[in-house]
Amino acid sequence: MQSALDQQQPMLPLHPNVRWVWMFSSLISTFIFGGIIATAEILLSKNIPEWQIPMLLITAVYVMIFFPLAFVMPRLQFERWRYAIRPQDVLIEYGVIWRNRRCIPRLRIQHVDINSGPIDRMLGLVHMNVYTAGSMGPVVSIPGMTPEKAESIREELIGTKASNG
Amino acid sequence: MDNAVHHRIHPLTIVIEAARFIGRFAFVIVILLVSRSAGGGFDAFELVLAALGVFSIAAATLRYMFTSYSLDSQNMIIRTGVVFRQKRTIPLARIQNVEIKRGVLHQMLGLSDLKIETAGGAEAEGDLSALTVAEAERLKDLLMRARHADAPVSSEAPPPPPQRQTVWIATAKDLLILGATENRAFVVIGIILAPLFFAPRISDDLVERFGSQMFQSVRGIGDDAWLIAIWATAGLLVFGWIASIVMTAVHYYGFALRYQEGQFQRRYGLFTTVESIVPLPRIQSLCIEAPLLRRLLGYVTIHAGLAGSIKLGEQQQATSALCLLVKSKDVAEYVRRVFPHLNMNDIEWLPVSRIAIRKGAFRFALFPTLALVGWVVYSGNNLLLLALIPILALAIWYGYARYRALGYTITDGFLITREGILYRKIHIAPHGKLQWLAVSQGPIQRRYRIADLDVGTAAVVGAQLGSPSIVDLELDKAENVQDFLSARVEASGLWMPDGV
Repeated sequence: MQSALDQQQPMLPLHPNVRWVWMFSSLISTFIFGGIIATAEILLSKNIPEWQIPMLLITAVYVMIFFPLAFVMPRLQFERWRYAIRPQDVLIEYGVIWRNRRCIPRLRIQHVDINSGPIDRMLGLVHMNVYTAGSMGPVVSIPGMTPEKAESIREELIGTKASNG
Repeated sequence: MDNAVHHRIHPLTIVIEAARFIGRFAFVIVILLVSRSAGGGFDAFELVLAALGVFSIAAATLRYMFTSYSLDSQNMIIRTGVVFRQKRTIPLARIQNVEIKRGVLHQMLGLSDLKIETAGGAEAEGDLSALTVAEAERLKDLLMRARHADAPVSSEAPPPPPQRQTVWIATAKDLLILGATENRAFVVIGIILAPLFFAPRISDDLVERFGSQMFQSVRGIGDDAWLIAIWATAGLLVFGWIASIVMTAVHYYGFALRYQEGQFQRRYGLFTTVESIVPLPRIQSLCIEAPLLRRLLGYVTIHAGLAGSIKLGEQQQATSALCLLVKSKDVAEYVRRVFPHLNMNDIEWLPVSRIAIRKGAFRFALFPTLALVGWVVYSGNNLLLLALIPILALAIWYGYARYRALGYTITDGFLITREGILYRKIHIAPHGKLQWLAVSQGPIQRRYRIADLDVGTAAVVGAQLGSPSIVDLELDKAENVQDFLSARVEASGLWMPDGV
């Protein structure tokens, strides 16, 4: 099996600020879910006082696991995340425990959208979603990009398609 | 620009739509009936029923009044919606398949339901729920011809023969074998058993009336209870099996696949008849499905992955089947009808990594072993550990069988993958139809540097058939194949030859 591409294409990292995006969003979800669990426990254990302490332990354990993860994971994720806009396709590599390497040939790109959530906006970042025909959601989603960079990549990807098609 | 004639759909649509509405609220009616018979003291039953009837007829009438379609040389335009008006323009060149479906009610009223699918979303893009049979046929022909006229036929397609030829027709024996080897028996059992679980919850009264009798009779059996339970299970299994055969026969009754001028035509169904047209270039992939029993009898089923037929549930099978039951040795011949350049008899399967054996065995043995160890610790009976021997033997056998079932090959224009011991699937995807490629590794795979390669096409077949994937291949090989195919896709041009 011959690989038909030139291996020189560099894999690019994400913008470092994306670590903060990931950290904030996992902290927020940790606190929201922790809050929901705690509330449910308080409501449930109201009538049975003996249950109060063991049930609150569940919340404590949950927070103790996910709180540190919110600080550790973004760093590991950032180290693993790489993308490349190659001559023939868009390639991404990511994943700490489950590793993924995904590519979309340029001709198959149906549309590209750029969007940013509230946390993204706070840090001046966007993420870029790339879709193919028949896909229910984005096939490739690259987070942590500056708006200018994303814009120029989108221009390049969509432009290529128009000239070839 | 909008000078085309706007057609209404058939007025009897109102009846069909109203029936659909009432069908949707059937559970309300059932609940009301049950609570009434249980003496729930709900007096307004008739009132609710009447309100529902009036409401559904009114809604159906409004819907009918606000639905229209028109057709010009470029587009089909469908207007729908009472509150939120919608005008949907479907470019004729983008139409993937056209399907005519006739339910029992449709047949009684002499109507047809015309569904138009494009490569896009999750449902039929255009759904004209009731047209006269003649009008539906006329539209179908018109749409397919319009699509055909300005579109160059794909280079993959054979020269169009002048006449319609029959490719495959189901005989009674075929349907019997198909139903008997379907993996559907357990679903049927579930359907039969579910009411037994849920019925008591609908009304306490029912439990008192039937429940006590049931419990009494079970208690009366005493020691034979186990035996009865086994017989009952066996009975349910046989019943489920027979039901599966009947369901398959009813669903696919008279299945016929014909070929004419670069497109397949399918027609099937006893109560609900379906007639659909599949243009050859729109076939994204093929899947050769062979459940164990069917394989042992020497048969397989050929499915086609079509763009724009993302339907979930039971319907899925219906939309994808191309040849229901084909002798294993004839597969190559049928595959050639879709992909003329592929000879399935010539392909050489490449093996995946031998680590797959270890991984399969490990995965098979993990939970039984943990459960056994737990049991030993709990009961303190060390003799139970002897059970580990058969578990491990089975696990090793499973690992080997799984490894042997896995395989892939890359020919000039196709990626072909094979997997599954009990439920074997062979996927065939032309390079030109691949949309994306993904290599993924779980923790165990990382340890041994192996990976899965999954590819996506525009066709979305059901979860049961899945999509082409090479499982447990060496990581560097997987990445090479990925890059190779990605470059091949680029070389083979646009995925829809009809110039979308």
